[in-house]
Amino acid sequence: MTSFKEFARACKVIEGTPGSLDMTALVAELLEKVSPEELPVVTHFVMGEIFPAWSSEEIGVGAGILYSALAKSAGLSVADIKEIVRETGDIGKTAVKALEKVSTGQATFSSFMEENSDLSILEVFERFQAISRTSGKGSQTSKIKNLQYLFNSASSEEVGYIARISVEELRIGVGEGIVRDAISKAFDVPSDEIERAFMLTNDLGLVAVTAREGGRDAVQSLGLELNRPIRMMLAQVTPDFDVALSDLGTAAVEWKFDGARVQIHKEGDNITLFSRRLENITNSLPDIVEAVRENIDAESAILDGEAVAIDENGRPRAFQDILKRFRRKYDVHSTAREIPLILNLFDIMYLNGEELLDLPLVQRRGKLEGCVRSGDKIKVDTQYITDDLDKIMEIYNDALKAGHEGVMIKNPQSPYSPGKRGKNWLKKKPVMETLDLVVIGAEWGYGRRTSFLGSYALACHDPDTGRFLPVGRVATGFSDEQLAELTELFSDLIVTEVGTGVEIKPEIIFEVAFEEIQKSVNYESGYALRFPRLVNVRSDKSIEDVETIGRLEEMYLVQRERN
Amino acid sequence: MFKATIDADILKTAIETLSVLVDEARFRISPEGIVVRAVDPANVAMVSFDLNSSAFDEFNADDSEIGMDLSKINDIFSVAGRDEKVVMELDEMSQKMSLHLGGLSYTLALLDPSTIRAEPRIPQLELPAEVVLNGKDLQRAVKAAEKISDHMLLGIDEDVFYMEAEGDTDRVRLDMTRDSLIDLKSGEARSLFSLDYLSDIVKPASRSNEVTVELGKDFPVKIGFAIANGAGKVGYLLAPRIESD
Repeated sequence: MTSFKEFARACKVIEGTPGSLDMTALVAELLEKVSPEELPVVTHFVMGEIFPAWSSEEIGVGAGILYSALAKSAGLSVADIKEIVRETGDIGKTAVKALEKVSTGQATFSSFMEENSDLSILEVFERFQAISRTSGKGSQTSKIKNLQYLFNSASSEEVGYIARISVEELRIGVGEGIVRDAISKAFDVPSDEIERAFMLTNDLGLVAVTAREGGRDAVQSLGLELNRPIRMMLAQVTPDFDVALSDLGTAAVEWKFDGARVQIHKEGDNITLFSRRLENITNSLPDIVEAVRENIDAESAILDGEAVAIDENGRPRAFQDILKRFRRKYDVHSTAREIPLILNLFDIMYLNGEELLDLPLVQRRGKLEGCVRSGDKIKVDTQYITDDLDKIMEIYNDALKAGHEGVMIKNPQSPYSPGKRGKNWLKKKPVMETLDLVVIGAEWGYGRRTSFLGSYALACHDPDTGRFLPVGRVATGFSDEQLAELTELFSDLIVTEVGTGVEIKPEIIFEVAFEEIQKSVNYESGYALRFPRLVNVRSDKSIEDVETIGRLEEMYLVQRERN
Repeated sequence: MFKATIDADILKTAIETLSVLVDEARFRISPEGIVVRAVDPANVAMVSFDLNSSAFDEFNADDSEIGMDLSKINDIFSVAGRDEKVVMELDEMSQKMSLHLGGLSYTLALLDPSTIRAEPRIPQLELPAEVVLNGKDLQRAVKAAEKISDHMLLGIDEDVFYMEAEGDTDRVRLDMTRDSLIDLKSGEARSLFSLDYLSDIVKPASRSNEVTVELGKDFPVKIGFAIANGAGKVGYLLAPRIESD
């Protein structure tokens, strides 16, 4: 049984280690050391997660609950805690300081026991599970009490890390990249095989346990499982059709629909839908569930498609309308009547017990067409196989005329590569290039906008370390109404406030347009955006979709070549 | 096997002594009666609960353990009339409890006991001082304290039992001498407690006119009283807040 203290000590060392190779070695050492039951927990904890991203379990602890728990543990007021947050600017340091400051701290029964045992990693996890299970009336109190237990049972070495994990903000510089390599190193399985298993299972904890118990063979045999989402295959932007065609020769060309991505799992009559962020959205889309149940001739299947909201003329409606459907938890049926959806299916990954990922696209397409009865609610749209540039232009213009985004140009022989944004799928859109960046900070406005958050700090992602690297701020492109909405949206995500500056939990993605990317020493990423403006708040996208530092570098280089 | 009949009112008050601390509990059932030991999520307060078979009009049971969601039971009793009887019957196959009261019949899904926090180990404490008083007096002091602070001192100064709370500017104190108490055993006692917990505990305690409070110095307090007209007892243990230097 590993104590949480040991985990906290490892975090401290990792946090103070600069190079990612050294960090990987340290994480590998930690993963090797813990017991089999602890391994999945530690794998998630070290990245600042508690449950795998796709799991429906959520801890639901925000600043409010955390501050109350710290206040009660330390015998201080919530105002005292907020004061310490302002001083330290960090939730971990706040926890340490608050519990040091204790004036009349709450004792627990552990202090009156003969033997006083250390908090174990599993005990911390069990408390987090208990917190995630609470719901309804009194759940707030119960969450606070469970956290209070942890804070009062932990030593000052541990409380900072408990606080940071409870809000899923560990920030010791360990992200999926490092954990993947650490699992590979610890259990001697090639890194790309770990990656593949991760893309199929979406659960590095599971992959780590599998690697440890069964080695390389077991990791290779990890595969798709019905009702557990796999990462969606993604497309690169292609600057023009010539380049795309010269790369691919013959291409499979499809309309790129202006909608939202859906992954469909069918197991008999049991249908499960996942969004692009791999959230379970089955309950929000009863019409799609019904259409799938009636029109897919397969005992079991995993399908990929795009849900499009259409107006009375059959043209796609604003993207926000689709999100209304995806996010809706109540009045689901009336919203379904107001905003009907059409599901355009374009890929199939699994059919009647058989994994299809490695089949060439054209063959998967054949199987897809074979099991879908196209109709009003659901269809497999035309795919053109061509090497003719004029033909592609014609398809592209038709798609734009119909109100859609552009075209997808795919390699007809390519496999389905979960989570990959490779050269096998290319997209071409007419609009100016945009970047999906995560908001990590903001400023309270002044004058007329005092009560609004504005001037949002944006960041890209470094997948190796899991860190978010600032690339500048966006302060234009907002209406007053939108600022009010955004202020509301961000109010729950405020981590700390210093002066008018606010640190925000990285969760909300802005799609930002800009003139060009510049080299910059002002921002940690080394890049800055010229004339950034907000195009859309992408609540359909998740942290994993944030542009990587590598992509910024690439775009910078392409842009330099073009000019 | 478990089948029992009891006054709804008695059961309702008994369950409340648990639900002030925990949302769900493991009930250990035996031919002698029902026993619960539970600790609140923060490990600050514990309750030990014993309801003898004699509290029931009819009581037939083998040894078993069941888990119940207390808020669901409270919901059911919220519609119970006075002087009604409740008949409980456990269906072990389906892990459901049926409750019949006043013509209504409920089927309640039980919780898997292993998903409920295990019974706590109870610390062995030597508490030097003890007072016995009317539950109403205890509640009055707690209510007065709540108005100005979030914590309160319980202590004994020679022959006086005192309850004292201090806010930022104000202070409230209730002194009780031997005459106003039912009994007093003097000893060194002075401990500080969170009112969040005390006010939850005195709610059921206030119904008893004989509550025993055992105290020490910077030590947990033990608060005990009888339930079900003497056919059961409840004891709370509450950890103190410690003043650091």
